[in-house]
Amino acid sequence: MPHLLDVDHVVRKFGGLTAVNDVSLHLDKHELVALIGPNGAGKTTLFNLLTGMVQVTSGKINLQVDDKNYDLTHKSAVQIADLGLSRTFQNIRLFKDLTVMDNVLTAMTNEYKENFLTTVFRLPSFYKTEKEMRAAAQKLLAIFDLTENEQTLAKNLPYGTQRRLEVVRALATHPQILFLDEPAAGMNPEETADLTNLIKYIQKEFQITVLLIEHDMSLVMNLAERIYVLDQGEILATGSPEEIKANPKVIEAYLGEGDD
Amino acid sequence: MKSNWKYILSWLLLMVGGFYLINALIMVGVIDDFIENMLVTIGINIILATGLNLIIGFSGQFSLGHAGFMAIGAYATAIITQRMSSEAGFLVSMFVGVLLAIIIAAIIGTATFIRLKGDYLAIATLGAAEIIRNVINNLKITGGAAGLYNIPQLCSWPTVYILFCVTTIILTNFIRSKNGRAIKAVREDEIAAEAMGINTTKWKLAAFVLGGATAAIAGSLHASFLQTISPSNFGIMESISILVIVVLGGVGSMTGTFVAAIVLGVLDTALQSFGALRMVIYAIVLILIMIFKPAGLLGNWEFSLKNLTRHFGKKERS
Repeated sequence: MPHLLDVDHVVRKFGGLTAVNDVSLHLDKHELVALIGPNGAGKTTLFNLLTGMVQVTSGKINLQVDDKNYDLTHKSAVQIADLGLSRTFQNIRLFKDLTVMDNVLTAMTNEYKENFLTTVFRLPSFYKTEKEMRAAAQKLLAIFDLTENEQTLAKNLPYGTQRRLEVVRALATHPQILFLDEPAAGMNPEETADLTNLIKYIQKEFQITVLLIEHDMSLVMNLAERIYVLDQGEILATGSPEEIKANPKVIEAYLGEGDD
Repeated sequence: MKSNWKYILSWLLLMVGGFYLINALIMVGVIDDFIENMLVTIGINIILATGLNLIIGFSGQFSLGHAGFMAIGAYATAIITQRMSSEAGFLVSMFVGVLLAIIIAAIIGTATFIRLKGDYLAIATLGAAEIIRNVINNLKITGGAAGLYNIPQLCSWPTVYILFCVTTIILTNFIRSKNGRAIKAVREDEIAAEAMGINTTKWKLAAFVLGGATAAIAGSLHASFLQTISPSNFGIMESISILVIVVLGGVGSMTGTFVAAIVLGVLDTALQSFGALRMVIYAIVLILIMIFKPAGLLGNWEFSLKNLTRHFGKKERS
């Protein structure tokens, strides 16, 4: 049985440095998987490989949707986004000078077709499409409690809210797989708890697969059905949260002993 | 739905009203030939500068080659209307100019946008415009360095006014739509835009081509109104003076471009009696504005009838 996403012996070298070394992993439909590991382990590079921002040196990436196979190996970021893989960024990359609403609408660019003439001469179909887009965006913003901030510029939002908006924007592309790069970074425990519930909710509600990078172990152990541990570019271990917690190799490389 | 029509109608009324206002002022003699010339120059400058603002302010691509596209439109009109001296000939020439500008902008854009950004892109577009100018300089049909003269005057201020309205409608509506959001996203963060499935090269190209096409329209008007053109009209200095309007008004504000073009146009005309001192005063005013308003006269603020009526609605209620 093929997986939704199959990453097969992927290698990425930057000059003499091997950032990702022979990594194989897979994601199934509606799974919530976490990717953990110490700083510099290659987690973000792996995300960049999966979303086409960086090309693999060798190996294969394969997507299987509705019995159709897509080879993602040498596809561009735009093509991969169109196939339903969406992401957030570790160092928040919102469109800072656009409003919250426009940030979300931007993610719907490819979904709604607007013809040049109907747009520039404001024919009725322009207003119809625009209305549909706005309604869809408002629905998403309401779920994430951002309705009040609709007209706020993204750069003026508090940090935690910016992270939330990035998730909304990623969801607006209607992804099959959502990659979250440290969604809880810089959040206080209360915000983290809210975020945990929210991720659980969107995974169920939107029926999507989520792969997340996170350092906050309470969040990871709470959410993830499966965990991959990456260390020095290689997969060190994989398994359920309980198995990972008990794995001596993981404890040594990342989690640390309880008493030090 | 109803309110949309209300705003469209208000804008149309404003445009038609402006037309008849100028018309009336000419009839009673308030606007003489001198001021009419100034108005036409301002109109052409607004067409040029709004197109450049689309490229620089909205898609975030630094272009220094806007005069090149203007030259294409100007020469298309000069060459065609000299052989076909009629209103129809003028329209055909403008169409040909726009078409040529679109094709050439697409070629230049494809060649440069894939690899170049910022200063490097500016230099590349500058080079492209110089190539256009040099080709014109060395062709027989364009009259070489001497240029073309005795171009039939087939456009008067109403033609300029109508085309100025049409290009403004096209550009502002383009920006206030899905397309505009996409090009602004490219300006804000290319990596994030690509992650959202936005083809950054395609959208940069769309802005560049649309900007180039409007510059060609301005070139056609310029050639037909002034009746004399030469390659030296379309050099780096022309590109820079269009850029000055954009920067002065506020990069990313179409309203600002309007205000700056009008301020500079009036200033330029008012200073004509100062002779050699004119450029010095002009430059000092520019420097002062940039010191006290570094983001341009209007920053990225836009005038909107919708906000205006909302504002007044609030006042009345309170």
